[in-house]
Amino acid sequence: MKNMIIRKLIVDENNELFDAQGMKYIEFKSDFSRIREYSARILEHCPKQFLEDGLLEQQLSEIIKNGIKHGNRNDVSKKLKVWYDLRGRARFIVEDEGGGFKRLHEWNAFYQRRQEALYNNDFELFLKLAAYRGPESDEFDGGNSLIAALEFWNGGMIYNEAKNKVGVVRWFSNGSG
Amino acid sequence: MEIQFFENDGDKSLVVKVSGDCDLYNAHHLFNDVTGKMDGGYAEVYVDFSGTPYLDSSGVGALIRILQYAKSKKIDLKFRGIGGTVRKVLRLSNILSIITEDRQ
Repeated sequence: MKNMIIRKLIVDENNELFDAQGMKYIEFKSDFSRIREYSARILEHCPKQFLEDGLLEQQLSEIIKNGIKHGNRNDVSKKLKVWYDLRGRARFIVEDEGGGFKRLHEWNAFYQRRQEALYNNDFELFLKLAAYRGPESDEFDGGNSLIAALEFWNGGMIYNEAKNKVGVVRWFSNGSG
Repeated sequence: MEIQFFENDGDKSLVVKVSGDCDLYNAHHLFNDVTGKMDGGYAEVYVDFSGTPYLDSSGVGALIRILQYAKSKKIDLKFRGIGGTVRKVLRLSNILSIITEDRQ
């Protein structure tokens, strides 16, 4: 019998993923048109084996996009702060100046229903639940970045209490240490 | 991103060839262009991603909306050429298991 594993977004202000000691720091204007450029700049000197043919840049861009679009509402006067450490693993802390991901627990409930539909082979329901829409979502938001992020950041994805700061880490079996 | 359409009047099928990155800056074109063309009365539509090296969550969102649209129109939608990073992103998003792949 297969097991159903449902990951969750976790809030833990004191989690070690928020310890920025020894990490590099960079900050950006919340310019939506430059999101992929920001990711590329952070990963300029990243070990090649961590890049996974663009997957790391894609996942980092999603976190930066969430901060700029949903957190700072594309307000270029607001900063996006990024701490990063690419020694032995890929670790990031991204903080925006917005009001925080207030519907985090609602999103967890949505994701659980979606995964249960998939587990039960209920593809009709799964397709209906394929996209998450909060009151401030636009037609291109679907919560898909968080679904993939929970799988990709295999060392954790943690939010602070204000939910405007996220810490993530990905370990690599072929390049850590 | 470039989107090309190839029609086959014989079996009323449509092939959509997507080339280049499909990301937050252009994914809306994928949805608008493909669903706009789907209204042409096709029984089968094939979306070919063999020329797409990069797909992000906006692209995944567009793809889900295309799936929902095809279902509402009772169009048989299949995908070709899903490999590399695109495949990894669809797997991470739990979408790979619900799409039909046409392995030519």
